[in-house]
Amino acid sequence: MFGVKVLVERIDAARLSDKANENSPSNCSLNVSMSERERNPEALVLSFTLELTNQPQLARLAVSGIATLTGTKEEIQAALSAADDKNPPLVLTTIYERTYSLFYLVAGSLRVPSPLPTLLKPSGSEKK
Amino acid sequence: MIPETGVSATSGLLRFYSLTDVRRYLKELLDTYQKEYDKSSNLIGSLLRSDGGKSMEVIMSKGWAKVGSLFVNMSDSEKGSMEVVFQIVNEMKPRVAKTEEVLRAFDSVEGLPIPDDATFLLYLRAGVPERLIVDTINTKPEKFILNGRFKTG
Repeated sequence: MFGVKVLVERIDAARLSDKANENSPSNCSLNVSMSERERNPEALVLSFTLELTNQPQLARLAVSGIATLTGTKEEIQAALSAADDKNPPLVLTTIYERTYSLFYLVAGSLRVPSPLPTLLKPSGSEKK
Repeated sequence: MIPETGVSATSGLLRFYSLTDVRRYLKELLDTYQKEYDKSSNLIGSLLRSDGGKSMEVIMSKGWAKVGSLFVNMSDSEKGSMEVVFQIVNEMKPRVAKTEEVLRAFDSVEGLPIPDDATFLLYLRAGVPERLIVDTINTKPEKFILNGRFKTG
């Protein structure tokens, strides 16, 4: 049965503007970096870093860790592929969903706007 | 079902993406066999010692009856179980030896000229590693890397 386990190893956060508050208008961007650590036919271990930034710059939040995908070769491959260029792969959506509460809590503590829980409008995702 | 005594002796093909993974699997397999062998041997040994060394008779049950093609023991469960454990120990001995031998010579396999993207099929026969197929057709998936930027609103 397919499953994804997410382990957060590191959280970095910094408030970058004195004037920012929860309602400050801004656009959030999520910079994503994922790379394969280990793979066998039933499991794939990925390192990931999700970095949330705002425009104008209000704060920087970054979460790093490892995600372990278990399932058949086909299920794992399907989780790594996006339906089309405009959508992120399932694995990224899952990692973001599982770490969203951290982003929400830290953003609230830094008194900067929280990101939306769903990934929207991918702009220039590049799969290597 | 998990066996109460003994190990599940798989027959089949297992796929691996690297020889390191094959070696790790063989080590784990051997470790499992050795632990189970030691456990079962100790059980038999302690029974023989506690019975004053009366030889093998102490673990031979007379309560077996043949029902169809199956032997059923309804009157002497303790000795019946011990007799079977003894049989398992005897069956495990060559399995442990063969797996040890495969692992000992595995350096030679690692020294073969094998393409980087090859995968490996290990054939186990009743739990014993017998053959290794180097598969250059069903190769390893490409290494996954994703770098991107997503707007979240």
